[in-house]
Amino acid sequence: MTRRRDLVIAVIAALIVVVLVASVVTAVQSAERNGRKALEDLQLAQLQQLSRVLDGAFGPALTSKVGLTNPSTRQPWTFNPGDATDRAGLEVLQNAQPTARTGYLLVNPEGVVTNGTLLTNPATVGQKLDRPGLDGVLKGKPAVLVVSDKSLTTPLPTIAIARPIQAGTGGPVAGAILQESDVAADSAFTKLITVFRRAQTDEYSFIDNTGVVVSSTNPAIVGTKADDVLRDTTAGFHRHGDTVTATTPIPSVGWTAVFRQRTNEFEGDLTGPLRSALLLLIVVTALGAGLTFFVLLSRLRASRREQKRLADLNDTREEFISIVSHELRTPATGQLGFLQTLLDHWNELSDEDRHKTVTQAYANARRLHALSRDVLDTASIEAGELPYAFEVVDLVTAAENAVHALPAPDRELVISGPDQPIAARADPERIQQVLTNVLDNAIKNSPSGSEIDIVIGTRDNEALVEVSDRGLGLTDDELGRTFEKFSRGRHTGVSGTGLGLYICKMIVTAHGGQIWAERREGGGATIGFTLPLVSAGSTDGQSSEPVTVER
Amino acid sequence: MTGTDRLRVLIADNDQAVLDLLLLDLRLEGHEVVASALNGENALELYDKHHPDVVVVDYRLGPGINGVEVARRLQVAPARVVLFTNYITSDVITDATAAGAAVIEKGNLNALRRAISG
Repeated sequence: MTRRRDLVIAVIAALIVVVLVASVVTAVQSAERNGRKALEDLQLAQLQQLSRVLDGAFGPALTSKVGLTNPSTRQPWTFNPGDATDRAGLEVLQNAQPTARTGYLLVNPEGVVTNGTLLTNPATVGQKLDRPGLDGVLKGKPAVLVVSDKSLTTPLPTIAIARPIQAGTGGPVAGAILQESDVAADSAFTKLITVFRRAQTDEYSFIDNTGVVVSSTNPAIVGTKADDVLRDTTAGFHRHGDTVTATTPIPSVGWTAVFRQRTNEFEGDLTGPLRSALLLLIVVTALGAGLTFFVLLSRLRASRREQKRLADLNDTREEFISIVSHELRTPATGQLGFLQTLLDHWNELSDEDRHKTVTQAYANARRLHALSRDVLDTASIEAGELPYAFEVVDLVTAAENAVHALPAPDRELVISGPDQPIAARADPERIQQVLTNVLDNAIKNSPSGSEIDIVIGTRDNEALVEVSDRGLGLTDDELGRTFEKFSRGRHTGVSGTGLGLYICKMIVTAHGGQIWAERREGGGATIGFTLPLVSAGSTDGQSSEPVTVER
Repeated sequence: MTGTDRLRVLIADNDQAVLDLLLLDLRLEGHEVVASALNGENALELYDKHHPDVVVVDYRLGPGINGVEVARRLQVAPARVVLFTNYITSDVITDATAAGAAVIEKGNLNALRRAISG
């Protein structure tokens, strides 16, 4: 029942831990998702802002009126190839931008170059300008022409801001004015956008509608065809492998602004702390779960130990009841039998038979008394209620009394001790009981007619009693269990409650002595015990008796 | 209380005091105790030797076979078997009865006398 309950508790605890971990992981993942989305939105917004600024810059440039007429003469351009007034007008425009590396061009409605500043090859005047998008301009629509490496005013590839020149609003196109602007890693525009960079791998690029990188913070790709990732011109935020891109159009010039960065760097600042927090939470949860598991396991173990203890206790009780009831029956029924025979056949019995029968009934009664005393004493000892009345006891006399009290032991009991008394501080009744039990044990475990030695003396300032039999001796197992409750010898026919030596141990220990069992040299077993010696000339403990004891 | 017939009885018990008691009482009851055994194997040997009318046997006989086993082995023999024991449990009663033995509690000498006389 307890095990099942513990199991249920463990399962519930495990479920709680799992749910907790799952919810933490979900929460962190959700926070990470939200954080990532916020980052993406922020990055896209920034790029769009940049695009709007560019849009705002290109728009006015395309619609500007400056240069639509000759600033030098304030007259319309002549578009005569090599015309000096046109040339002077272009120089005015050129001089307004003293740091520019690129120049201005005038083309007639056929697309033929009629004049220019900073021309790398003066012979190009009078030649048709080969520049994609020029046709549209000559039809009246201003445009930023895509990157071309056929620049006339610089060896570098350029874009060109091209505006049509019309005679009056909506009139026929008289020609166009183009301002080339170099596309290079060190161009003014590229230098401008470099300030947006904040990290190692972030990159801002502008691509024209033919896919050529007009400008980039990455100098290696300026003027080249953009790679597939950069050419993903769908506006919005994208993920390509280990890179993220944000793309937004610049409508006025038909370009695309692209932000690109390695994902780990882009998200690093965001996901780092979140991942650390997640790791910490997982560690904390795992520790908590481990602790819970440990506590539950200890509880389970304790509960099992308790169950086993109770089961053992129950077994011991049942064994006790079984042994005691059977052991008590034997002398009780024996007594009954002898008394019944005596009553039923009194007249037919000889005096000798009567005496013998009464003796045997008496022996059974004594046995019953001894057993019931053992049982009751065990109960008292275990309840801590066995009373002791300490006096000075002569152990030699006590041993003699114990031997004489044994009914026809059928053994040769030999007491050897010093002439003077061995005075021990002890309860005489209890010591008599110990001696009787130890002798009883020796008799039960030794063959009929064999000798039992009772040696009394002193050792290490203690009174010492040793009782040796010549029985089968003790096995290792028996040596360890001699003084355990219900421990009985393996000798054939040995009966008893197995309480005698257990009681001896309890009594001797209560006296402050020790008791032990060992193998006797030459076969058999020895039970020995010590008791506190009463030294001459002193009174000890509660006793006021004289130390010298009459023998 | 003297029995009508003088019967020849074999007694078996590992407790010498019980054997003493049975020896005395059954003699006074007019029976003849032909042999006494201290264990089960010994009881079977003595049975083959003396062929008594009644076998009185304890259940617990120390090491070796117990009283019920003795009864079982004497089941086909003409002798009546009485299990005279302190060890009375439902199992012992069932087994002993199945082996054709009467079960008498040790404290009840009168019941034993009746069981022996049949």
